[in-house]
Amino acid sequence: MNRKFWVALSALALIFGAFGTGIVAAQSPTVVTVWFHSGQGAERDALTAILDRYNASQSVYRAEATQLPEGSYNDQVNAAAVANALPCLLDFDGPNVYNYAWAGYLIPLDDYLAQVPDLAADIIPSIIQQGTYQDKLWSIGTFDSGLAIWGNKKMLEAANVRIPTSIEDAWTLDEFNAALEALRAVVPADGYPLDLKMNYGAGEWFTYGFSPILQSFGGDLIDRTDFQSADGTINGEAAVAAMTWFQGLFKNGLTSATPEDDNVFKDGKAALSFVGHWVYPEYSAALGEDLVLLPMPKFGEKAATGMGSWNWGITSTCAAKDGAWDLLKFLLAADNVKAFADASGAVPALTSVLEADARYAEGGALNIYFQQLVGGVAVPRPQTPAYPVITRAFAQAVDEIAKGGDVQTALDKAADTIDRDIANNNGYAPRN
Amino acid sequence: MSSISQTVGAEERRAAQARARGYRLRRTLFLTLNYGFMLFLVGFFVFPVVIMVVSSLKPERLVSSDMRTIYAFIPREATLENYTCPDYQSPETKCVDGAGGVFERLPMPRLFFNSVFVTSSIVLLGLFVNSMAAYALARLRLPGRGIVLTLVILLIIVPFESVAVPLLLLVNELPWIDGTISWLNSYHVQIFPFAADAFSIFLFYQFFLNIPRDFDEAARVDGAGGFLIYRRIIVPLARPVFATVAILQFLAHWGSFLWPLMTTRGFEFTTLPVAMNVFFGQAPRQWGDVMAFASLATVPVLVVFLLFQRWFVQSVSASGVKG
Repeated sequence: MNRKFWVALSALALIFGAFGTGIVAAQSPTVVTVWFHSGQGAERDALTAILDRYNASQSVYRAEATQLPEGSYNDQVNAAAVANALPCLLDFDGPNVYNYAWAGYLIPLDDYLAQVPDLAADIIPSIIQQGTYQDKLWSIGTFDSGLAIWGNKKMLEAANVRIPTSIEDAWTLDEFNAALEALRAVVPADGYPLDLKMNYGAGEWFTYGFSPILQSFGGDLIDRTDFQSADGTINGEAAVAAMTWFQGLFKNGLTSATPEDDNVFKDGKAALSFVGHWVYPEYSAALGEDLVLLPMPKFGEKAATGMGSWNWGITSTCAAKDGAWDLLKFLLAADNVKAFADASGAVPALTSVLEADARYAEGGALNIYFQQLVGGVAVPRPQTPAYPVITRAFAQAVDEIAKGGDVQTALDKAADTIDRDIANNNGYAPRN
Repeated sequence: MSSISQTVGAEERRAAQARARGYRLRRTLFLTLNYGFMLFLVGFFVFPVVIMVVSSLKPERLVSSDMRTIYAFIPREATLENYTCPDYQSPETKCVDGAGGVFERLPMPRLFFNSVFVTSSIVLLGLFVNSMAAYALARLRLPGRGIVLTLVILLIIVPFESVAVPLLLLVNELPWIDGTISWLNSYHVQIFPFAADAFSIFLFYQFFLNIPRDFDEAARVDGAGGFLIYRRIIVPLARPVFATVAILQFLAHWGSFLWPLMTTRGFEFTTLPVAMNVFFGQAPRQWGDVMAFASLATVPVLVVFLLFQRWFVQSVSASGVKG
């Protein structure tokens, strides 16, 4: 009797214990902390809506998001890393991927992605290229960027300039030079043929935007065989030729180092605008049918353009890594990728979403981006933790060159800055 | 005879009048030049603030383009869209593209509260803690007082940037009264590390040394203890230095950036200077928003300055520091 009583009591305790645990588990889902940058309003609203949908869709994990100011985002991430207080899922810009991976902030995502082969096959190649460092995948973006040249069709036709429609028939350097000269005749007296968005200032835009010119000429920011030295590459013969041509644009009055504002192209004072995808909504509203997207010219043997944007990684200190991946997988669902891309105006990261979007289909307004990203024109940023230093050094050189400084001297200085940083960090040898 | 004296008198009068005219002319010229120079200086110092406020009242497309013209000082096509635009629906405004003004993009009331609360707490707590410390150093015969004083003075020259990271690691391990570990992302992490301030202690100490000890001794004879003497004798006599320290601490911490950046996340506890980085993301910069935010963040500083103008001038002459 006594023994039966205790056995029954133990069984009941086990049942209720398990049930109780179940109740507790159901009531308190595992928290997945998320940090994201405070971008444009629509982008922010889209992410908030997606996270709300995620929390409503299941009860195992709960995403808790914190918005951080974009201008100091990297500093706050580094401070949190020092204090061991990074969130589980982290949003970060393309320039920081390799530095974060090298510093040990992130974990590789290869094993997780291998569990969903359909998703892996659907992600566009440039997203995988951007997230790969030391043969491992550290980040995945829900959208990519597009960089090409926006043209004013009416002005191009008035100047009898050929309008290329694919990456294969992109302008050559001679054609581009001739086009700029011809366009000089059709722009207003207070305008110029090419807007380079120099008003963005010496920052990441200078590297993202103008290093493809270097690469198309046959140069690069660093020797990519081992990422140990920029000397001889960023200041090599091809790079100097590229930046000398670039400086000529300013010297010959084909562009301006000090645009009066951000509206030069929209106001019809420039016939071409060298800038990324983010201007599409406003340019499209301003020019309508007269807006055309032209592929990046072949300055040398091949064309080159930039790639990469904000992307997501799972931190190494995260206590709920599976939850973070579950959330990231949700963010990468086709509907959510489309919602993100619609809000940000960026290029969706999934082939399926791109193919379903008329703008990226053949003949579509943004088809050139699709061609460039999947057709091998887009070049990833150098996959080295030194990239933050590389971009600062190159942007500084571009600034000096645009203002009339000696090209070789400016690039030599950049090479020296980069090589010293690499030496100071012992070649950025892998930490583990 | 009388005609000669009349002639001499008239000449003297004319000469005196001429001298007076000359004096008035010189004085007018002097005053004109003087005021002209002072107005030039006023313009020189005020024009960044004027440009900031005027630019904040312009549509975004005019902010940059007007900078090269006299319109930089004139709020043409004045609008509040950089501040807020709940119903304004004209084309090419921030309201249409969803970005909105600063009140739509940021929780401004919360950020103002955070800045005011953190800064005021540091100032009030600092006045108490630092003056007490200085009182102890100035009045009490403690063993090792000289060493402590030397250490306090040495601490003045240690820049905060050099101790920021160790301090971050420290506060991350500290417990709080609710049982949690780590002070990160809270009000107290922004307040307590700055309550004690070496320069404030030094200012108080210098001032307390000049208050005659006779007052203390008279109070002591009447039965007053150390704290009563501090509260009833020292504090009332030291109001100017309290005002000086309050103003200097307010100005220093209202614009504090590095520490809130390192220790807060999101907008729940962060202050205005860190939140301003929302506008420094991807190019192009929305300078209208930046100017609107900066104008709003400057208002409390101007209010404090106007309220405590007299003390502020005294603090500059007393400490040689203007924040």
